Amino acid sequence: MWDKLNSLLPYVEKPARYIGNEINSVVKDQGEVELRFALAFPDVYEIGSSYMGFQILYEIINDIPGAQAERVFAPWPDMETKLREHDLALYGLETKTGLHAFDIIGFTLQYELGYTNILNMLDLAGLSPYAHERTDFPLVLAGGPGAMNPEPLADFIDAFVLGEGEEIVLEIIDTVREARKQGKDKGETLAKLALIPGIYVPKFYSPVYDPQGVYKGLEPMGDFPPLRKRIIRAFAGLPLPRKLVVPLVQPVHDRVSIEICRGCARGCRFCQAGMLYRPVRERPRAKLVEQGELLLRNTGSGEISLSSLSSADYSEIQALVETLMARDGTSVSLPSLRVDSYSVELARLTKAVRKTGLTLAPEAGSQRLRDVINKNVSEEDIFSAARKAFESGWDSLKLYFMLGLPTETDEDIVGIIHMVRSLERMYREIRGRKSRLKISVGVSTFIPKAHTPFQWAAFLERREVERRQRLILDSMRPPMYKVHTSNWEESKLEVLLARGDRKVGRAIFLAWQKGCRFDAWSEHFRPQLWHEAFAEADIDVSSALGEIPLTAVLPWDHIDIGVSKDFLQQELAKAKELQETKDCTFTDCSNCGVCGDFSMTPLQRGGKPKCD
Amino acid sequence: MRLILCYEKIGPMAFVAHLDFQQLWWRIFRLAGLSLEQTQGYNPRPKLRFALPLATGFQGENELLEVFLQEENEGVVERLNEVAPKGLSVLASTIVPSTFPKVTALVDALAYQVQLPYVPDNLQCNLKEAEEYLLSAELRGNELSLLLRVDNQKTVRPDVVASACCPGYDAPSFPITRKGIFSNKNEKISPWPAGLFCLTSKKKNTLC
Repeated sequence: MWDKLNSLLPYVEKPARYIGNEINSVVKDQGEVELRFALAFPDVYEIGSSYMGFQILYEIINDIPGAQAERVFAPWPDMETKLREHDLALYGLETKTGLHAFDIIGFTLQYELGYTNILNMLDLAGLSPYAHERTDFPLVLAGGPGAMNPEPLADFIDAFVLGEGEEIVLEIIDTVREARKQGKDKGETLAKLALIPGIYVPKFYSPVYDPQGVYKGLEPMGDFPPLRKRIIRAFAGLPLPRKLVVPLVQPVHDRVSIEICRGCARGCRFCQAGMLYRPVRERPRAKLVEQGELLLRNTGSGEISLSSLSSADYSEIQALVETLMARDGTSVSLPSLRVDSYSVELARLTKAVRKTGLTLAPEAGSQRLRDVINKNVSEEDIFSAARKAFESGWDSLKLYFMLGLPTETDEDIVGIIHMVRSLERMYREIRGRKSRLKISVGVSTFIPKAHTPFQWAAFLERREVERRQRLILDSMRPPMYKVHTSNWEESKLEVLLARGDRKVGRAIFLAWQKGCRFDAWSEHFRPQLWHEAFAEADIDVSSALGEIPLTAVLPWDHIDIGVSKDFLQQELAKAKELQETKDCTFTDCSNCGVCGDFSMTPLQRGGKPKCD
Repeated sequence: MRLILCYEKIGPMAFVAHLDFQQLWWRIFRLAGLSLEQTQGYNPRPKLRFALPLATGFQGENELLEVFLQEENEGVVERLNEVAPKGLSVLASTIVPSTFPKVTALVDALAYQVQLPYVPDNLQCNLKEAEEYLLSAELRGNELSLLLRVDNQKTVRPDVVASACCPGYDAPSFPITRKGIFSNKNEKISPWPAGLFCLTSKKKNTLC
């Protein structure tokens, strides 16, 4: 295999994507390997190789005697061509074993625009993309946020893994290993897997439609446990990885990351992660320091990132940052900060000033719209955060907004422009006339996502999105401003896949067949082919993009994430009334239902949020 | 502590591009617990000096790297090899004084071995640059050995020379190995770094 690779790698861009051999990668004695598990990331190496979820599972699986976890990424089109020319199967990076010879291939569904790559990767392994055409092993699994609306991929995936993977992966491996030992076939093994809580085997459920063709839900064809996501209840005691594979093609961020807390209860009404990863759980500080230091030692990295959905909300964040900063030669980074001066103060502590720009996400340009989306950030928070940043020496600022949110009007758009202009004025007042603020504004288009209060909302039509984008672009021209807006076609596809039902699978298949892959990469995205695919699959695109009636049965209703549908509806109603829902870790329970479902004691961070 | 390391970059490591390779070295030094001196300036980085970058896909059997360690250290070679991935190993190290010339200034010629796709009848080279930089070419079977002159870090690529020598030669698909780095400094420098070849004797020699 290596000989063959050796002769084709000189022809491809960044060949180190395809060689494995990284520091901390694991190649076991192959005579002892009983079970081979491919962790498959449906995007290119640089994007996937630093993904923490897989780094965690990689270590958990490789800690099991007899199990070999390998990693596989989507080959870039040049490599795809070469693999096909040489008739080489897509392989695991560790042992170069073809994917078809694995027991399990587990995909992660981090974003919808990677779905065609999944089909392509299966095809490159000589496997049919369609689950029912694959009569033998490997089993093809999929997990991650995309698995929470699994239906668009239900025709391709043998089993979905719902929720957090650290515990269930062990149960899956036990079950599959046992089944393999007993000589069970794929169907029998899937029947066993379907009994594990948190596993959804789509072929055991058949969709029901009324005479008008309206979806009415799924009918289980057997007695299976409820399809509820898995969570790690004892999160505080959950070990962090001891090592991380160090990518050989360096990703943009060369750092280790430790997950300081899981879940976020801020309750932004558009945010899927905020609903999916509840309840909020924290790791104790002493453990984070100890295991963070071990990780830095084992990876030779000089930077540690404190990851979570809202880092500044971690109970002992300041003390944690200070302890880690005190370590010689270590820098600390804080992703996903809140918009308030406390967060900027924390960022200042990490000495990130000058090194990196400061990123703030007000999401909406007016107080009214921020109230609609429950982004509990006031004008004052934004300006005091910026003031603090400018006074601390930051010269570059990134602002993130969303366009096309429910109830948005031109006033809200003008609000974005005003906010940016006022920030600039403030900067000049603080730093003098000669200084120039580098400001970049990211304006993404709102995408209604499953399991959020805005899941029923309409996706804005093209003309309107582009008109509003122009309002912003026309009043903030380069070189003064760097404004990035989303491509409407890409956003549209994301909506169709994110809210799709089982019928959408046909469109994904047709699009892949027509040549779509790497849809998240604008240079490869081909909207015309998708357009044809949806038409041929007979999908009514315009109604799929529109508002969904509250009474409708949703394609993801059978997946229980712990947060109740009632709560989502209440939140939608409160959005229309401009009513706030506070973060329950700082105040009272907001009755989302998740703690009760998992018999967890709600985390209380005591007192008010630090920003008040 | 200033050191010149001689290392090999072979097998899978040949496909690691130079910039990534540089970052890999930073990692390896940190993993080995050896602190590198930092460059001065706005954006300090660990200081490393490669004799001459190796093209992606080429193997290198005797590459030279100059490093500056913050402290005196024992067993540097062993410590680095313990953490280096397969295909990268340090073969030798030489401590050099602060007055020693930069490793980049030592490079006067490079030896390459190219595996040709077939055995050409005779060696004919119709390449202008080859005239300027080619010191010697030798053919044994399908193995072409080249010695190329380096002038102010400028030289000609061995694959370019090889394709000029062999019509129909498909440059990227056949293995190229840099066998060694040559210097004509002879007695002018001391100590002679391990792994550096002497241009006049063409032998790997610590004393030249």
